[in-house]
Order: sequence, then C-alpha cells, then structure tokens
Amino acid sequence: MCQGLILILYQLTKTSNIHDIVFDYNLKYTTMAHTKTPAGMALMALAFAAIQSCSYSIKVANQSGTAQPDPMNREMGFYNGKEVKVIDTVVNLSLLQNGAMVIPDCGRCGFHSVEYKITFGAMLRNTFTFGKRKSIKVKYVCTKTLNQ
Amino acid sequence: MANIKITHTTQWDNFHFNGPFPLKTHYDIDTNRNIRTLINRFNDSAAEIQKLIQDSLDCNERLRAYGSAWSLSNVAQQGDRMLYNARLNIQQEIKDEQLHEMTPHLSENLFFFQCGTTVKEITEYLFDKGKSLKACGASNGQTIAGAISTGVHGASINEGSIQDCVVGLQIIIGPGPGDIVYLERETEPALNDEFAVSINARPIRHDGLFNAALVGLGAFGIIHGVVLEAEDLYLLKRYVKKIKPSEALEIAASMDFDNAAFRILEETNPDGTVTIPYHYKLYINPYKATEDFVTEIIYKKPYRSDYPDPVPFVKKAIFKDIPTWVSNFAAKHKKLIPKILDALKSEAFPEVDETIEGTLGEIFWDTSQSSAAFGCAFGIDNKDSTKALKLFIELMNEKGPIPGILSMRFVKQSAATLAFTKFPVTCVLEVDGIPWKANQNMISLDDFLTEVIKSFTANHIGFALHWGKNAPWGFPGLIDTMFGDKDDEWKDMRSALLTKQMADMFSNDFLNTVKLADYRTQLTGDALAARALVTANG
Repeated sequence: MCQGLILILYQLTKTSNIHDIVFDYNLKYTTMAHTKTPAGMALMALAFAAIQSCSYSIKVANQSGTAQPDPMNREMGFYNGKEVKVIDTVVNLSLLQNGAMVIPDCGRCGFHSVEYKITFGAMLRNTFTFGKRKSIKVKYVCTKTLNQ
Repeated sequence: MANIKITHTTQWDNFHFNGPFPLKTHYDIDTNRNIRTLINRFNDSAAEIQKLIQDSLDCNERLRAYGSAWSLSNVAQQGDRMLYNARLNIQQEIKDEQLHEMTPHLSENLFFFQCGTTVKEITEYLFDKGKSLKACGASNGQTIAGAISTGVHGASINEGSIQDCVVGLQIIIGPGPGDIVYLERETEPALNDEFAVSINARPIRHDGLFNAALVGLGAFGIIHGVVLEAEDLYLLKRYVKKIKPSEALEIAASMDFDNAAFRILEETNPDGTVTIPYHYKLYINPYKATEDFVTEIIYKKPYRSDYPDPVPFVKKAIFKDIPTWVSNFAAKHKKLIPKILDALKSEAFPEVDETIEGTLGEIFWDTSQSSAAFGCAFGIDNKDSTKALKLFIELMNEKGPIPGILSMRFVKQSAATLAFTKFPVTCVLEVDGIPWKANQNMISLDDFLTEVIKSFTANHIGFALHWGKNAPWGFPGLIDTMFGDKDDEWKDMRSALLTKQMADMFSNDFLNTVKLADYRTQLTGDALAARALVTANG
C-alpha cells in the first residue's frame, strides 16, 4: 500500500512542478529542484509523510543500568551523551536457512538499549527474495561497565 | 595506568545544548580494569589525574574536570583542557575498621564512590545493599562529583540536597605527592586516618573548609572520591492532585500540613493529624495562574517488594522538531506562547490523580533530552514564596510572554557555604522551557531574569541562584546580593586549601564572571587555621 501511495504521490508531484525527486532503493529521496507552487509543496509534504510512515523503529531499553557514555556525542534525544553502535548490513540466507542472529559484544553488563529499524526497502527486499536477503538496521548502546 | 583518550578540538557542548563553548583539548579518562584491587585501581586514576595536572602546568594551561555536563550554566566549562571523568565509577562499602573513633555514623550506611559514578549507579548499588540515597534531583544522570559541586537539590523537605549526605571528600589539589587530601568535618568525622592513607590522601578535618569545598563549583581542585551516608531502603508514594492556588501557597509559605485546608485522605491519621510529606512540588502555568495548581506530593513509606512497577512500560516521545518549532514560532509570535504552552501542558505536567509507589531511583528515573533547554532556579525563603511567585508571574506576563513554565519545590537548608538552598526551608522557584532567539519583539532570557533579580531586590526578597542553571551571572554585585559575607568565607577557604598557582589552574570564566576567582594571600581566623592544617605535613 505504501508503495502504491508513494508512486501516486510521485506522479502527482511531477505534474505539480516538483522535479527530479530521486528515490533510492530504501526510499530515501533527494529533491533536485525547487518547488514552485503551494500545491506542489503540499504534495511534497504528503509524500514525505507517507514515506516516513512506511518505515519506523522501536527502541527497547533496560529499566536498570546506565548507558555507556560518549561525551563527544551530542545529538538531540535519547542518544545524547551515549555511545551508540550501529549495525547496518544485509544478510544472505541459503535455501535451508530461515533466520539470522547478530552477536555484538556488549561485555558482561549487557545491552542498555536496542533500536530496530524497519524500512520499506527492507520489507521489499525480504518479500521479493522470499526471505533470503534480510536487511538488518540496529542501533544499540551497551551498559556502562561496573567498577565494583 | 588509567586509560586516557585525548581529543584535540575547538569546541564542546553540554548535555542541554547551551553552548557550544570553546575548548582546546578534551581528556576522557577510564580506570585501568586490569588492576585487580579496587583501591589500587582508584589510586591509579588519581595518579594519572595528577600527571595531567602537571602537564597542564607545564603547558601553562588550565584543567577542569566535569562529569555528565548537565549544568545549563557554563560552570563546568573551561577553554583550555577539560577532563571527562564519568567513567571513573568505583563503588565500595565502608568497613567497621575504617570508621573514625568519634564518628556518629554506622559503617553499614557509609559508601565510597569515585567521582564519575552517576546518581543512577549509586541508587542501584545501594539498592543491592538494602540502602538508598536520602535525596536526589528530578532525574538521575548527574555524576556524584558534579551533583554536589553545583548543589543538585532534589526536593526533600526534611533531608536537604545531595551534598548534605556527603561526609568525606577526596580532592586532588595539585601534582605533587602530598597534593591529595581527604576532607571531613572536624565536628562530624567519618573515617579514620588509615582510610585516608589507603587512598594516598592526607586527612584534614575542618568544618569551614569542608563546608566550603562541598559546593565547590570545581574550584577547590578535582574531587575524586566521595564518602556518602545512605539510609535504609524506603518507598516513596507519589500523589498528583489539583489544589487551589490559595491553599497550595498557604502550605508553601508555612509548611504547615496539619492545619492546611488541603489533605489527602490516605495520609490523614485517625486523630486528624496528617503525615508530613517527603516532597511537595507545585506546577504552575504562569499564563493561567488562577487555575488550580497541579501538585505533586510524595510520602516516605517503609520498603516492601510487592508494589507495581512505577516506571512506565512504554514511553512515548514527541517529534524532535517540535520544541525547535515552538521556539522559532514563539520568537516571532510571542502572544501565542500561552496558548502553545497550554496545548503542551500534558507533556510538562504529571497526570492528575495518578498515584504511584516506588524507590527513590524509580520515582526519579531516567529522562532524555528532547530539545535544547533553559532552566533557572531561584532559592528563596519559603515564607516569601507567595510574594515571589506573584512578582515572577507578573514579569512573565509583562516582559514576556516567554516559553517556560514555573514550579516550586521545597528543600531543607544545606550546610554548604555556597549552597543556594540557604534558607531554613528553601523554596526553589524554577522556570524551565525552550530557549529562543531574542529580537526586538521578544526579550532575551538574560534580560528577563535580570528583571526578576531587580524586582526581587526592590521587594526585599532574599534569593540565591542555582549554580548549574541559566542566570545573568554577570549582574553587578550578584554574589554579595545572594550570599552576603559567605562568598568571602568561601574564597578564604579556597585560598587556604590551594596555592595561588593551583587556584588559577582550577578557575574558569564562570568563576571570573561571578567574582569568585580571586585569591586571598592574607588569611585570618578560621581560614588561617585551615591553612595551617593543609600545610602541616604537606
């Protein structure tokens, strides 16, 4: 449904003087020209909202423990001051395999939080490869090492 | 050897994005976990910090330690070298044989923490021992050294601020072998000299010196170890109610809960008296100040394990851009600020009629920063709270509106010389919100707060400002207005502890701005006695 909606909006934006919106395989986009009409702007916003709602992420955080700090990481929101690690890969599975597990090292104190992102492109890849190519987009933070 | 990561940079920012501030070199230190004995690991960190001090001296640069960088003012910032110490989180119990023979404390209640241990880490460590901190701030991310150095206060009517639980401080005051000291109050010793020796420190027991160093603004050297007094684990039961402003403010000014019109049935005794709350906080929309105040009232209860988890299972986040949008919009259309704040009040105020129970660490759990923020807190005598609130609200409406909401918390007086919780019961009158860019239509935050200071002064309302928050720190004569002669006492004690060279090493722009950086060569009385103790065996 998302794909259809985006394609319709894409066509509409083309007729509304918004040029050359380039979608990559993950439906990230870049505008290459300026909008010219309010209708174009509105459609652009709609397209953006549609794309946004097609991909989402969920964070799971431990109630206990303190995040491994990173004093040089200043970003607004949950990850501010935390040492964030990112896994962004595609795993190929054989005919006999149906799942994959990523095994990062977070030490004995374990994970502080994990954020799993599902994108429209990843869903498409999984669907059209019959589950044999899986995108993995994970951000995680380890728990601060204890000194006891 | 402790691990130090060096980053050459040009700027640095704090947790709440109140900068950026200039910086040349950033040091990120961690303990050497290959050293098996904790006390040796602790001493190794201290030795490495001393090497950094020596190197800074050799390069004629200043060095300042900081932790979680939660202060909104530039109190933690220093332009030459900054030492991030939040990885230094050694935690230890105190044994009977380490107690001073005259101590009033029990060893089971005393704990030793390295400077970078956060309030949350302390809370969890103490929980495992069946203990709890006596008080903490509204969240838990501050490091212990940062929290006490700036006077993080929480809202405990009967317990005071975090620094009031501290009974011993290990401070690095220079690069030499005798430049690590262990401070305690003479009238309330905690640990014996053998303990001090075990952490390579010289014991110094002096009330004035200890009280001055407690809220030391990073100016007394690098606090590396802290001995805290905890108490048995307890629960806090939190009610959120709406109270008529007149009734809420009557309680605020008197702290007389027994005779107040407002009472909570569950906390009323059969004889008609009421339980005195642990915490009393008013949330106030300054643009609808006649509305009933959302009020948070917390009672202390004996610990039991069968209570529902008070931490929400799902926590929703607002769009990151909303605060920025509100800020930009507010700067252009300030008359709409009250309507915007009204629309956002569910994000800022707790849910009314919600009752939860939990430990101190659960009730004041994690917060994350969803936007740049400003915050200013005036400590005033609770007897002046009604008058001060009226003046504050008038100014917010006349000079503003500004995008912030008000709250009032109540804290017991601190023994620290420059604690801003200086009144017998200090009402902490706070304004928190989203920073904005001033323009010809919209007053700047500094100018607005300057108006508040002028108004309080003209109306004879004594006050002191929270060191870790925004304020017009360069306001003429501010330090004397806030503290009278206390700032002289603080400077004398600092000069008694540090050499002139080291006093300069641990100074920064903030201290210069508030006129606390000057060094006293001629000391008299108590400060002279303190210096004699410092120089003996030094």
